[in-house]
Amino acid sequence: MPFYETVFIARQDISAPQVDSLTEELTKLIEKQDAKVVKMEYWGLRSLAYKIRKNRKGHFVLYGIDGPSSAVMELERRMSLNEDVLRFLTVKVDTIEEGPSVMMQRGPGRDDRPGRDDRPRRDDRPRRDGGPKQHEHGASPQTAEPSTDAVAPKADTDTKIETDGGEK
Amino acid sequence: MRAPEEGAKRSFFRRRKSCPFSGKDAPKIDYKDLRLLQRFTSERGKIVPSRITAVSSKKQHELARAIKRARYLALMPYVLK
Repeated sequence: MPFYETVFIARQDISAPQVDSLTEELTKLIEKQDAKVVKMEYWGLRSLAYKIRKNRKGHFVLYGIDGPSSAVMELERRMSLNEDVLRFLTVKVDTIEEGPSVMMQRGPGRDDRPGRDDRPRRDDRPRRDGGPKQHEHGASPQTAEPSTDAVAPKADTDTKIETDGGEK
Repeated sequence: MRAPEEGAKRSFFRRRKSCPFSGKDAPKIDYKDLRLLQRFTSERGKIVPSRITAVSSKKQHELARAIKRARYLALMPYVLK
């Protein structure tokens, strides 16, 4: 039977145990379609090169499948229905390589490195021109509320303080 | 005055580089091997033409497909700004 390699990306907000249960669920599904899961790899929470459905990171899982195409069709159908799965790719391969793939060899260390991807991007950062405005809006009602009631009393208090200070 | 002219002429003859994916211990093109694929993309994330990297046309096709797969899986960017 042909070999397939399937990679799927799960949402960043789900936890590692949830990813495990999801992969297990899909493994059972594959085995139900009389296909074998030859290989299963969890690449960890990797940062995505671009945003997918507002996710900046994703859990990557790789399957090596030995089975009929119908099993892959069913797997893909189920993944497309699952909202936790952001994206998947199935590739038909000649052989499924023994041992861990390149992703696992490099280890998670590379991704943890503080790099360009970890830096907050422009659209994530609070806007510079928006920031002060918000403060202005936040500050103005506070000052405005007393001032609308009475502008003069406020001025009075100010002057009182000043006079107090002056007396002391 | 002749010597520099000759030198300039000679610089046009460049040894043809061989394809980095042919030969004995050539790397296997795989969409998961990001470090390998990154060598064949520009700073902007474009695929570098084979006339610069000297990859054979057969392997360039394979390479381009691998890069596109990696892009789809968000392992590589479509554009780097």
